[in-house]
Amino acid sequence: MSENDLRNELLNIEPLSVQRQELLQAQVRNMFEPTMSKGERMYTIASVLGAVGFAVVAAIVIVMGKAEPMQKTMWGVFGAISLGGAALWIRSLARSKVEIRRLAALSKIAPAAALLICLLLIINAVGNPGSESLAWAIFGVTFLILTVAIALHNRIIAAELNQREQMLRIEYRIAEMSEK
Amino acid sequence: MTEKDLIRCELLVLRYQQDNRDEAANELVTLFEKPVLYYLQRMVESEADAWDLLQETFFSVVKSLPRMRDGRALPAFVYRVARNAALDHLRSKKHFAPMTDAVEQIPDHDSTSDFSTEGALLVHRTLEKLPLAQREVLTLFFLKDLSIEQIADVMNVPAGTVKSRLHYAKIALRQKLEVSNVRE
Repeated sequence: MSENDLRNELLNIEPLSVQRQELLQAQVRNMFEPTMSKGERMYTIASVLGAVGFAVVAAIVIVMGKAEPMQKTMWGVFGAISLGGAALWIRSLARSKVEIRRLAALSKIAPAAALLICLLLIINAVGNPGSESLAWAIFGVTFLILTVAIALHNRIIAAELNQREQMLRIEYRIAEMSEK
Repeated sequence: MTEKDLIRCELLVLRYQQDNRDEAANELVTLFEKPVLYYLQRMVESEADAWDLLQETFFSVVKSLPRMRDGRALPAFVYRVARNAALDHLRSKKHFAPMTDAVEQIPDHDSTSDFSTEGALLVHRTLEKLPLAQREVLTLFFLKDLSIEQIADVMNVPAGTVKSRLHYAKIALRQKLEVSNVRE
């Protein structure tokens, strides 16, 4: 009997309680769930209120405002995006969890949404030349650049982690082969 | 721990960072449930208390995972957390006596190092008869999850002290095993 066998034999002398094992596994899975802190909860509530407020204002502008059709379209798009965000935040609040995977998936489509907003603001600036629409167009471009930069940064981190995982899998295979 | 297990520890930390939490949770249980529970049972004796302490240990480990950069440091960290939990438990039950160490030089060739020919069940039963300090160091040694330096780190003592405790613990275990053999 080698020392590793002694280890394994010692560990197998006392059979583990199946009930306690199942309980522990459930508890460990809960421990790994990312729960919302008080600060995150307050931030999410504020985000929901802001997004819903914006969507209400957008609806009022579209229904009762005297804006150009192009501007009404913009309000409509921005209002819809706000409502989508609010729905996701409400879902997170209901579950009391930070849904990191969903947020990561959303960060992938964020540049497309930012591009849409930017294009609408630029089209508006071209159609209605003026200092105000120019300022909004500059805001749109800045917003797009920031969104793309953040998305790129996230993709680089994800790629690095994936590469590290592949390396570790190869190292594991090598260790496995050298054991045989 | 084997090289394979250390790589699995690295993967566990990586999966946590990748938000692959189910796999990370399963890996934590697979790697550490049995050996850490065995260690805790040798420390606190009651099985129910050991399970509670294991849960407490895993909770602290999971909370620390976001700050963990080196997955290879995970085994020592898990055992350190488990040990602190066990000592706190013993103090609360007033079962804890300070550990003292002999200061004699340890021979380079340790003739008591091999227990591979002994029956595991006999070693397991005899471990229970040793004082806590010896039982702890021998348990960590037999579990093979940590090097002497890591055991020293876990126990918060110099490596020399671990070697010393291990030497005398092996002698004590050998003597008790011989007594058991004579009786049988």
